[in-house]
This record gives sequence, structure tokens and C-alpha cells, in this order.
Amino acid sequence: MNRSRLLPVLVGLGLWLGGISAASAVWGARPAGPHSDDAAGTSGLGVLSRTLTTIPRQVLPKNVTATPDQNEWNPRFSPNGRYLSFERRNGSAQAIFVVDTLAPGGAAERISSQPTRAAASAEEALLGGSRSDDSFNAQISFYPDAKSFVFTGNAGTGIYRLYEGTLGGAPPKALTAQSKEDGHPAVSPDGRWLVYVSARAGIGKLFLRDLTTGAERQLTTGDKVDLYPAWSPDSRTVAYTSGDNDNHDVFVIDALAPSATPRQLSAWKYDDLRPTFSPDGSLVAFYSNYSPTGEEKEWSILAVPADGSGPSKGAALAKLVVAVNVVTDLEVGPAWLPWGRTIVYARNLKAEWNPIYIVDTETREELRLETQTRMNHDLTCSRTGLLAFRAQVASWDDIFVAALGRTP
Amino acid sequence: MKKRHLGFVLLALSPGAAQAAVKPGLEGAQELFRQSHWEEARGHLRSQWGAIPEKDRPAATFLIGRSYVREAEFYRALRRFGSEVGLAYLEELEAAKANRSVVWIPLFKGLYQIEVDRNVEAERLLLAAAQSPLPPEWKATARLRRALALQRLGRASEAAAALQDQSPEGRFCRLLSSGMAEPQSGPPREGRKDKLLLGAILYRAGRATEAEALLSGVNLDLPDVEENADPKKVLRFHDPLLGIAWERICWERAVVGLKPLAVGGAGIEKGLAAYYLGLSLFNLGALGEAATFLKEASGSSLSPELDAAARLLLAALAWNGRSPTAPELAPLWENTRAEPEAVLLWAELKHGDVSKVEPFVSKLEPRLRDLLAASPERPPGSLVGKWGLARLRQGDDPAALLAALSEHRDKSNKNKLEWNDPLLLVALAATSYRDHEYPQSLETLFELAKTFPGLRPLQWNLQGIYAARQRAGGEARISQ
Amino acid sequence: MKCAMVAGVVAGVLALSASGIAGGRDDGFPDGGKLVYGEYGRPATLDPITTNDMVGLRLTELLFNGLVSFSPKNEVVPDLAEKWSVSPDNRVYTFTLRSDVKWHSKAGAGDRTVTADDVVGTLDVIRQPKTLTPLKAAYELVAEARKLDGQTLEITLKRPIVNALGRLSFKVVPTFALKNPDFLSRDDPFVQNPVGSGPFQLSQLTDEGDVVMEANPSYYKGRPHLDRVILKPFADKNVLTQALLFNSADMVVEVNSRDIAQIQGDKRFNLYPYNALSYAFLGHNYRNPHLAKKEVRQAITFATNRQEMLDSFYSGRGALISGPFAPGSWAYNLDVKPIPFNPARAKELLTQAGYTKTGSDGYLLTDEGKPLQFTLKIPIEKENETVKRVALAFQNYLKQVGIKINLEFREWQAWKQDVFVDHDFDIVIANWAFDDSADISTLFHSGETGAWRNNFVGYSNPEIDGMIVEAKTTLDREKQRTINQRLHALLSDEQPYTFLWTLTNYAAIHKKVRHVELHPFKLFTFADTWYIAKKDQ
Repeated sequence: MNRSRLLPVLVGLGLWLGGISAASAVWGARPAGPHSDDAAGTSGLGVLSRTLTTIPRQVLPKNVTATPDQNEWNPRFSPNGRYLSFERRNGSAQAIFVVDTLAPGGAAERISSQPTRAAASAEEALLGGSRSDDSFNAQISFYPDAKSFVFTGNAGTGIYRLYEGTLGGAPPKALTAQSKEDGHPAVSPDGRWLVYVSARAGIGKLFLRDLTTGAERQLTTGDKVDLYPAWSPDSRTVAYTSGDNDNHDVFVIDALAPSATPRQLSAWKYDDLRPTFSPDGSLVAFYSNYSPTGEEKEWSILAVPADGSGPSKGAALAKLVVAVNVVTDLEVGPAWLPWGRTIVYARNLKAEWNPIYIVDTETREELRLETQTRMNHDLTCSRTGLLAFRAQVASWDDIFVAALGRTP
Repeated sequence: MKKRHLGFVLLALSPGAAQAAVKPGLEGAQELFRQSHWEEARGHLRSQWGAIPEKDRPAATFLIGRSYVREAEFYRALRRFGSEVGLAYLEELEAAKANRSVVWIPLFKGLYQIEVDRNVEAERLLLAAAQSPLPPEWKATARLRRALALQRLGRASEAAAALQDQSPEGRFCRLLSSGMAEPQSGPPREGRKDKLLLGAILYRAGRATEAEALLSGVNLDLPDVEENADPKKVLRFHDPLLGIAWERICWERAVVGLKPLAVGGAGIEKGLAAYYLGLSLFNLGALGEAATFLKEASGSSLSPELDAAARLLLAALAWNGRSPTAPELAPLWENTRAEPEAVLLWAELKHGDVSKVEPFVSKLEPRLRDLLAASPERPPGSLVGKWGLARLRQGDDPAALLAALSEHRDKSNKNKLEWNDPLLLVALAATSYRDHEYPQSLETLFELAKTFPGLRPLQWNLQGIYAARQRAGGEARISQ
Repeated sequence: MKCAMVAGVVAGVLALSASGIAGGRDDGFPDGGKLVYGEYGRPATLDPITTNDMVGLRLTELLFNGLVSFSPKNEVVPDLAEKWSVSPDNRVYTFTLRSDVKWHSKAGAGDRTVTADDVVGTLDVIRQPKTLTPLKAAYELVAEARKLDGQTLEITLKRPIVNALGRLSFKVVPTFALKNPDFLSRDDPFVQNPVGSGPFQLSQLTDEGDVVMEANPSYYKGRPHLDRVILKPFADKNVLTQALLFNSADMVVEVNSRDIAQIQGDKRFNLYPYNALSYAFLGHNYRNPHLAKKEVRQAITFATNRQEMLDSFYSGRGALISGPFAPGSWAYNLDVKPIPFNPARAKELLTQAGYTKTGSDGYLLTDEGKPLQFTLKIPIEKENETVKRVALAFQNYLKQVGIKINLEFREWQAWKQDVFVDHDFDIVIANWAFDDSADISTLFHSGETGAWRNNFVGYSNPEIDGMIVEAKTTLDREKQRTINQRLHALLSDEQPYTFLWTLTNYAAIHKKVRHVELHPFKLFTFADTWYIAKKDQ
């Protein structure tokens, strides 16, 4: 990605964000060494890559939700980075909320597959109407126009389907027909395709829909469940996770070729989950419970060539570990920054409450990002360099946003 | 206590999204009502009554009265569950050698047997209890209740003398058998039981204010007898009659709450108030008055469901205590079987007037079984609860029923009132009990008891059954 | 006379369970179909003696039998033993075994039936010092086990106990199939390739860790309905939920807290609550002179907003407790309310306890001028994000009242060593799970403070000791109740633990699996009766 073109955008955003984040970017005094578990970092070791040196070491994230008695999780950005979504529960009902990062102080829009029902009887109306929404909604994916979106919901019917809606528009409508189970929608970056998981044929497999014509076809086959599909930036390839026990593997498949065979990116005995493409499309990163130290309960992030030309097992694959002892996001894969080939993640340093690190996958150098937040999870970064994540405040989780806009 | 987050708040969400304090006025009360916090909803309205606009007052009045109906149904369900459990507990006590000398057991067993219609055994036990070394007031209780059992066995002449007793309990028993309220003033009553029974009597006599004054501060969770001769073995016994009194008081409060609206109201509120008023009076045994208001309700524009229920109640009133004939039942059944609320009323009637009419009974059971499956919309929790309780009474398999009821339960908030109707929770607790899942049952009651008084007798008895029946070896396992 | 009565009862039960013929069951339900269930993590071993994790314990319910078992109504019912009698002093149990229970047909087992030798051998192996098993403590009360003849054996207890039969429900293994028949260690192939007598037999342990079990056609109660049960281990909790939702698993044994709502929203599944008798707690080490003060322990509880933690970290899926029992227990004292969240009261108590000075960092100072601080020792096994959240919140609450909490995370085995052996801790956070007996004697009796004993906090109170002994030895259930209620009240006041909450675990099972009854924590005890309708197979 061309940094010089990004710069004006970043500066503009930085100016808007109250100037706080940009102005408070402080040059940290201590670069962390590669794969360093040393929280304090070691001073003066190594020269950081160009990408890393231009990222601030400390940011002051804003608490976007700031609800003292509710949890919010799963922040996701629209492709242009303007809209931020997250999920919140009301009892067992869950709705998706979307805020406009360009309109601070505005109310969040609530998205659900089951809009409020009218009272079922005169008596119910007299008593103030019935409980409005007991649907479960999650997994929102925005169209490139950022106004429209697809998500998974059950409309209180007990069947999960995909729904489609528009911000500020009419209540969402079902996009897939009554089915056994649909979920994990992902709209391609160019807005032409929708890939999702459906169990209509038995177990969960990937299906591809042409959003222009509505035509659908089954994208993957086989007897294992395929999950967490993710698009390549050029909207041609889909990466996904496949498996049925503690040995999932990562695959990529050419979405545009009708009878393409998947290429297996990982084929070892470890559990490999939730692949995501780098912004330039050359790499795929995923979580794996392979740990170089042999520690059973620690997860790593690997970054492998997206075209399948890299090793898929053994010591050769192990060399492609770029981060160790990470806190995995349970619903999406590792978060790439829009610059170079860098990944931002939370490290499982318990006594430090999951501090945030950024690693350059090419040089393997890292820096620690000081955020003054604790129990950081669900990291995600927009194309415009806005970092969003979930962190614990007192006893509840809120959503935080920080601009990683770099100093020119 | 809520902690405010300090610091970086620039974007805040509209208050509707977060848990807000209760809204003022009718809206707030309606929210509390939906969450089944009925007493709070009423208190909310009463404390702000002056500020409630005129146009909202009928709805507010209806809410208060309707909440009492909900409460009465809740306590009725609890009472029935409690009777079953109470008797089983006393049977466990009786079976244990260590309790052979406890004089209270036969007495209370007799009291509970009346509640489950085992009048032959009750009569025998209470006769013996009246002659056993009990304190005088409890011997009197034994005689009085035996008289009730005799009445139900059709041996009213034997009961006549005992039922002349002028104590509050005597008068309450007469109220139960004849519907007559005799609230004569006497010396002030301090005892908890007397206050409750007199409260119910005063209400029936139309003296609501006096009744409320008497009932203020009464604690429903105390035992009636605490046997603690051995301090390391404390036994508690609870008289089931108090549960009957309390349920009646709830119905009476509904009557008082709804009458102004049923008589002086207009429009939809009047019709609805008339229906629920009629229902309450029906449950109190005030049959003439019940018929008046149900006729009025039937003539107004009620929903099909309530209309069917009203017609059914009127028909039951017309039978006047005799068993209806099959030709009478058939058209009534055809006309009302589509409405869940009416079917549940049929299930209630089945245990009284219509039980012996065979063609009807064989139709009711299957209809009851598929009642919820047939409904397209998600049924309200209170309906599911009543349905579950009706099926339990019918003797259906508790394991399967538990699975069916659990579908309507909010698992994340398993026993929380805000997410589960109280009647549904009672049904779940009762079904878990029948299925021998005592911890689940006790857990559910534990949560209910945080909001509703009067569960302690049931909890105590259920704990006792569980203690007596458990056979575990004694394991404690640690985990992280 | 007790012997005759028991034998009579048992004979009655035997008459009812007449379907003891190998082959089909005559309950009218179809055979066929498979059940795939997902667990978080792999069982370390598959035998009932060395297994020390819940995954393994559940698995052994499918593969093995005990002398006795429990019915869905929690009654003790015959299993391998068809009848038994007890001596008048309640110490000697004589069991007569069925003669038609066969060991799974594998190499070495052939067509052998279960004999008294196997039962006695199993008990001997459990009690052998070289066998590493968590069962040792439970069977320490066995004085002797001896065979009387081929199918009869006698077990003598050191002392009579309540519900002894329930205690003698250990699973029986074929000691002739062990590498060394006297003891069992983890390098014995048996632990990965077990042979049992239960409704299912191990067919294959795949390279990927799947445990494939087939119906035992010779099972003495009749062939179970399901053809096959397969355990699939998972390493990630969300993937486990997805496997269920997208049909690659039919059952998840313990649904991730956060995913309960999502699964509930899918009408294909039933969610079954279980394990109601467990609770979480913070244990305070009395050997620390500050924690030995009651005011300090009470202050810690007043300072901690347990309801908020329960609501936030566990989505409210439980209840606060006020004492050493879960609210679902018969022993719970309903009159004792949980200590409310009241930081002001906490501060008062600390002042009363003598902590009147505050340092510049806001923490109270001890007499030595050091900050009043404790280390919370946290066991870490697999997923630990939730307990980290709890720890962070706890640290924050206590900071508000001037107590500094340092955190130390320890791997599970190391944590147990620190806590149970070295007693090297200030405060710990953990969970206790109990069976129906509500027996807390090992947790609080002063005689249970030695190595590997459960009273690791070092609590000692002669009054409590006496009550505990009386509750254990009396056969009068109501007396047990009264004593336990009093224990509850006293321990709630003393706060050797900050009693936290009880949580509900849920198993999610596809509705196509029918006639499901779950044992409250072993889960699969009745799995031989589950079936799948023909159209769903």
C-alpha cells in the first residue's frame, strides 16, 4: 500500500479525532526485541523496520462505549474505516450496534433481525406492549459502500440466516432462504460477492453468492466443516478453516474459478484457525496452537505465503511463526495493520493484562504499544489505521479506539 | 453500586442502550410489570399517582389489578406444588426411625393430605391427632380440619359441630366451605396465622382497609411450629392453610383493584377489567357476582381468547356444582378448544365438575399436549408455565416435560425473573422436583424467593426430601 | 435386621430390571446412529483409575461399570453386584456379582466375565502406593477387600460412614489386562487402550485424538441403542460451538459461557443444566497473620462486588452464595444472606483490625510500615481469559479499600503443589464441586490440614470440628440438616473463604438424540438408553 497517498487521509483523521491521539503520540524509549516476552523490553536492541518506526509507541485510546454495567465485544470496521460495529447483549438477546466514527456523540444504530413487534392483543397494548426483541444477531460484514451490510441473525425463530440491511434504512430483510443454518458472512472487498457458511447440505460448507445476479454455488466440498471465510484484497481468493476436532487446517480457494481445488496452507497436527489476508494479499496469517516452546496451551500467529508456495508442515512451517503466546480472537483472525506487512495482537502476559504488540512479519521485529488499557481482546484495524479493541474497565468490557496515525 | 468509568469518554451512547433507571409514570410501571416485579410496579404507580395524566389512569388501574391476578395465579401454583412437596416431606420424616416420637408429624401429614384430596386418610390421621398430646390450639386445628375433610367426604353431619368453632380458623374454614364471611370484631389478634385468616375474611366481607391494616408486616416465611427440644435437630412445620389464605388475599386485592374500572370505566379497559374481575370472583367462590361481571365482559369486545374463556367460565357457573352432560360439553368444547387460555381453564375444571365425562377427558389430554406446538408465535411465559403445570397434574412424563419447558427458559439467565415468567419458573421447579432433580428445583426457588415472600415453607420441605433421599458417597473435587 | 432388609429391597429391584439379557433391549426404541460429542481438551488417560480430568471421567462412564450405580432418580441401584448385605455394625459389605457381565471382546479379554477377583484387584490397585490416582483419598477408608468365592467378595471399612454404597461405586477394571496387575501407571498401555464392561467399548483412538467407541453387543443390560459414540477433542471454544451449529458434532459437553445465548437461539438443540452443586471461592490462608484476622477476611468480602463480577464475566449465569454450600444443596441455610457489597464497611473493619495508616500510594500500612498486600495465586489450565478478568476486577476492588493484591499465575499442577502441599499462598481462587452428600468435612476440619488434604487454608475451630464430626456420623438426616445449617451460619461469619458464586454448566445436545437423562456431573451414566429415531440416523 502506498504510504504517501495514505498520509493526507491519516492526517485528516488525526485532526478530527480531537487531536488527542495524534498529539499524544509519544516516542517510546524502548523498542522491544523480536519475540521478546520481556515486558519491559530491552533498550537499544536492534533497529526497527521502517514500518514499525513510524508507529507510535503509546496511544490514548478513547472509550467508545463507556457503559459501566454492560459488556461490548467484537469491534469490526467497515472497509473504509468510517463505521465501527460491536455487539451487546440484553439478557440472551444480542444486537449489533454501529457508530459513525466521524460523528462523535451521536447515538449508535441498533441492528437486529427482529424489529419490535406490535402488541399481540389489546390487553398487551394496555399493559405497554410485549418484550420487543429476543433475537440473536452477530457477525456483521459491511459492503464497500459502508452503508449496507450483511449479518447473521435468527429473528427469534430459532433458525440462523443471513440478513441484509442499510444504515438508517428499513429493518433488515432475510437474504438467505429458510435453511438449516447459515452464518459467517463475508462480503468481498469489491462488493460483488458474498461468501458464507451454510449447513443446508449437511455439514457447514462455504457457499458463494453473486450479489449482482443472486446466483449461488457451493464453493467447498468434503466431510469437514469449513468456517471463518476471509477474502483476499483483490476479491479473488477465499481463505478458510477446515476441520472437525483439534486439528483444523487453513486453506485457500480461488472463488472465481468454478471448479477450483483448494490449496492447503497448513497440514500439520496443530489447530490452525481463522486466516486473514495481508493488505497486499501476499500473506495469510492465522492462529495456531503450535508453540515453539512446546507449551501446550499457548497460541502463536503464523504468516504464510497466500499462494500456497510456502511449507505446510514441519520445521519449515514452524519457522513462519511471527508471534508467540498470543491471545486469540475467538471470532476473527489476526489483525493486519494497513502498512507493510504488520500484525497487531495481544500477548498473553497475564500479569500485564494482555498488552498489545505490533510485529513486522518480514523482519520479525516487534514493538509494544502502550495503551493503558487492560485485558485487551478482539483487536482489529481499519484500512485507515484506526485500531479498535475490547478492554476491561473495572468489571466490564468496553470498546476502545485509537488512531495509529503515524507522525509524518 | 455502579462505577462510573473515569477518563476518555468522548463518544457516548444514548441512554436507551444502557441499563437505565426506572422511567417515571406508567411507562416505568409497565417495564417493571413486564419484568414480573409486580409489587414494585404497583409501588411505582402509587407513589406517583398524582403525576399520572388522567388519560393514563385507566391503564394504570388496570395494571395494578391485573398484577394481582398474576400474583394470585402464581401463589396458587406455588400452593399446589407446596402441597405435594409438603406431604412427601412428612412421609419421609415419618419413615425415619429417628422421628418416631415427633407428635407433629401425623398432624401435619393430615393437614397436607386434605390439600391433595386424600380425605379418607386425612380424616383418620386428624382424628388421632386431636387425641394426641398436642397443645390445645393445635388439637382444635386438628378437629377443624378433620371437619373439612368430613365435609368433602359427604359426611357433613359429622362435621357440623366442629365447624361451629368461633376462632378465626373456624370462621375461615366456614368461609372455605360455604363462602360466608363472618368478620365479627373480637379481641385484637397478634398471631401471624390469625392475622392472615382474618385478613382473608375481612376482605370477603368488603372491609379491605381493615384487612390491609391487619396484614401489614405479616411474615409469610416463618414456620408455624418449630420443634427444637434437641437444639441439634430443629424441625419446622408449616400449615398449608396459610397458603390458601394468602392466595385468596391476592384474588381479593385483584377484585378491589379492578372493580372501579369494571363498574365505572369505559372501552376496552372496562371489558378487560370485567373479565379479570369475574375470574377473580370465580376463584373466590363468589359465584353470583362472578357471573354478573363475566356476562358483561362477554358482551364487550374481548379478544377471542378471553371471550372463549369467559364463555367457559359462565357455562361452569351455570352447571352450579353438578357434573355437566356430554351433550352440554360437546358444543362448548368445539367452540373453545382453539384458544390456549380456554384449554387451560378446561384442565382446571377437569379436576372438579367435568372429571367424569369421559368423551371430553380423552379429548382434553391430547389437546393439552400439543397446545404449544400448534401456536405459531412464541407463547408468553405465563401461558407456558400454566401449560406445564396442567400437564404435570395430568401425570405426564416429567423428563420430557422438562425438556419442553426448558425450551422457553432463558438459559443464560436461568432463574432470573426479568427473563423468565414466574409461572414458568414454578412449572420448571415443580417438574424438576418430579424428575428428582432437586438441586435444579431448589435453585429456581432460591431465585424466586428473592422477589416473592412465602416460598420458605416449600424450600424447607424440599430440602428435607432431598436430604432424606440422597445417597451420595461424599465427594469434593477442586478445579480451576 | 438390616441384612435381610437390604437383600429384600435389592431382590425387588432385581425383579424390576429384568432386561438383563445381552442382545436387544425391549424398550421399543430403535438401534442405530452415532453420537459425536465435543470436549474442550483431550483426556490424558482413558481408564477410570488414573484419569484426573473431567473429560476422562465422563468417558469412563461409557466404558466401565461399578459394583453399584445410580438411577436417574438418584437411587443406588445394582450394577455389577446383583445383591449385597451389610453387617450389623455397618462396616462389612458383602457383594454378590452377576455372572453374566463380560469384558469387552478384545485381545486378551476373550469371553471372560467379571469376577470377584477383578473387583478386589481393582481396589488393591487403587490403594497401591505406586498407583497415581485421585481416588486414593476416597478409598482410604477401605480396611480390606477379599474374595469369598468366584462371584462373591467382602469389603471391610475402617469405620461406618453415611451412604457407604454410594462411595463404593468405583469403576472396575480387568486387572489381568494390566501390564502389571498390582498397580497402574501412566505408561501402561491399558490407560490408552482400556478394556471395560460398559455399554460401549473402545474401537479406535485415532491419531487426531478422536476416541471412537462402539456399542457393546454383549452388554448385560442389552445392547445400547446408539451404534457408536465418538469423542472429538477441540482446542478452541468458539470452534467447538461452531462444530455443533454446523453439524459436525451432535453434543457439546460444556458450552462456553458466551455461546449459551447463541445456541439457545437455535431450535435444533436442547441445553441441559448440570453440576449445580459447585461453587467458586477465594480461599484465605490462616497462616498469614493478617488473613488470620476475621475483620480482614470479612473486609475482603465486603469490598468485592461479587454480583457485578457474576453479571459481567459469566453473563449472570449463576447465583451468589453466602456459605459453603450451593443454593441447590439441601444443606444451604436460607436464612443466611451473602455479605453485601459495601466498601465503606470494609474500610471500617480494616480500621478496627488496626490498619489505620495509609501509605503515599493509597494502600494501608501494616505495623511494620509495609503496604497491606496479598498475593492471589491463580491456577491456569487451558482457557484462562475469564479468570484473568475476575482477578483484574478483584485487584481493582481491593485497591479501593486500600489493600494491594499481587497476582501470581501458576500452571495447574504447580498450583496444586503450592496450595495443597507447601501451603505457599495468601489467597487462592478455585472451585469446589460436590455430590449430593453436601459433605464439607474435608474442607474445614482441623485434622485435614496436612499435605494433599482439602483444608489447605488451615482453618481450625474446635466447635466447627465437633459439628463436622457429628454431621458425618449421625444417620439422622434432619440432624445433619440442622448441623449443616449451623455450620453454614458460622462459616459465613468466619469467612475462611470469600464465598463467590455457583455457576450453571450447560451441555448442548441435538434434539435428534432422545430419551436423554444426564447424571448431574458424570453426564453419560444413562447413555445406554439414549437413542436416535430412524429418520434422523
